[in-house]
Amino acid sequence: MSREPDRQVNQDRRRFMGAAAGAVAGSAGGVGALAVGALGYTAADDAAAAPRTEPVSDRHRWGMFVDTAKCAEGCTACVDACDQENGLNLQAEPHGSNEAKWQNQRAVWIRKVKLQDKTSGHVTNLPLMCQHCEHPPCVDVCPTGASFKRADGIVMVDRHTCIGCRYCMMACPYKARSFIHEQVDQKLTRAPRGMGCVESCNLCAHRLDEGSASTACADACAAEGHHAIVFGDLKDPTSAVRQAMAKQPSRQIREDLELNTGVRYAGI
Amino acid sequence: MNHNQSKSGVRPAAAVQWLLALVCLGLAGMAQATGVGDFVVDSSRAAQLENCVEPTEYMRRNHMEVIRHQRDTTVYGGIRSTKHSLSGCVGCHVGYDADHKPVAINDKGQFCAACHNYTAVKLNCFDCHATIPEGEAWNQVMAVDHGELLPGVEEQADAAAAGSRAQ
Repeated sequence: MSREPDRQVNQDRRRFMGAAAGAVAGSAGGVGALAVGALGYTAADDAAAAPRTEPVSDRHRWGMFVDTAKCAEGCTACVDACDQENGLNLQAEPHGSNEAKWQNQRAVWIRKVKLQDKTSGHVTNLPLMCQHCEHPPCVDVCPTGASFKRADGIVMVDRHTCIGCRYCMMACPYKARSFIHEQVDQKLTRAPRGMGCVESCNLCAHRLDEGSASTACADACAAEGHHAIVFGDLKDPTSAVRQAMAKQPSRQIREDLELNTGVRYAGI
Repeated sequence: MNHNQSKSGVRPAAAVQWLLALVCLGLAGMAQATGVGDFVVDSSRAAQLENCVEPTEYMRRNHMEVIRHQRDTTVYGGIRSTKHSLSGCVGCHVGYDADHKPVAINDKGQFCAACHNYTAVKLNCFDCHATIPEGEAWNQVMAVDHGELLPGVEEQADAAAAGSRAQ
């Protein structure tokens, strides 16, 4: 199937945007890349259940597979587990704020989304979080280089350089990012959070860095007995996520954007 | 009052007394400054240790540089167990109250705030970072406990450079 020329995704433009953002980052927060580069890449970092001693590398690409047929209606186990793991439950409603506005503004990393086919009435439930794109639009547009893709495919925000412009929130096709509007009093050590920065799902990067290849949402889903979320290394053909993906067809949400997302869904 | 006395011409003995008082005042001032520099909270884990992850004099002058290097290593490289992690600072230097509950490290009189208030340097680490050790991922304190402590970023870079020179 050939596509109309004007509908085609122009990767050259994306590359240019990426280079431009990189140049800006070089002046603002490029120290990090240099410091990390100086460490050198040597031995394997595969050792299980031990803290990482080598910088992350592109030998892994972390991702998830969601089987929407197993995602139960009304179940919020993944969302609750994410809230606990990443301290999102510690956010306090600002004094005098109205409840509806607060529910709309508070940071969430996973949203439960319900789709209904208008013709057949068939209902599909799915968790929607940062899709950890290979070509993330949020990284393309970030003026300071704060929004970046880690070598192992995790898209995250370096909040040391984030200026809170929220351009990435506009660019994200998945509405995956949240902005922290108020000073947060209670924080977890593993999940820093401050006023004026954007944040989103980081695939529980702190767990990966400790050597445990799991996410809170996938664990919670399995604990509920649904097993709808499978987490793992997309580059390893033997990983659980690749095994699950090999068994049935899966799709990217908005695959027309050719972002090559790290989160894939079956049954949509 | 002192000004009036010196103007009216006081006896030599009184002048000596006055001088002594001045010297004492000066000594007290120095003692106070030293006290601030030494501000390790008694109830913290750090109080039981000989020195910090680097010599105390080095840490006094360079702790901000050390933390900044670590932050980039952690955010971009995912390495959390070097000895210069901020979460390690908090874990070791946080004080505890009578009920053994941790006190926020940036509270008045606590480790960070004591010097930063004294020198009027605003610190904004704790706008985002936790002020008590809670929900820690891997950090310096845990790495020590598990014998997995990594050297600092600069030391690793130096070692790598030395290694490449040797080859």
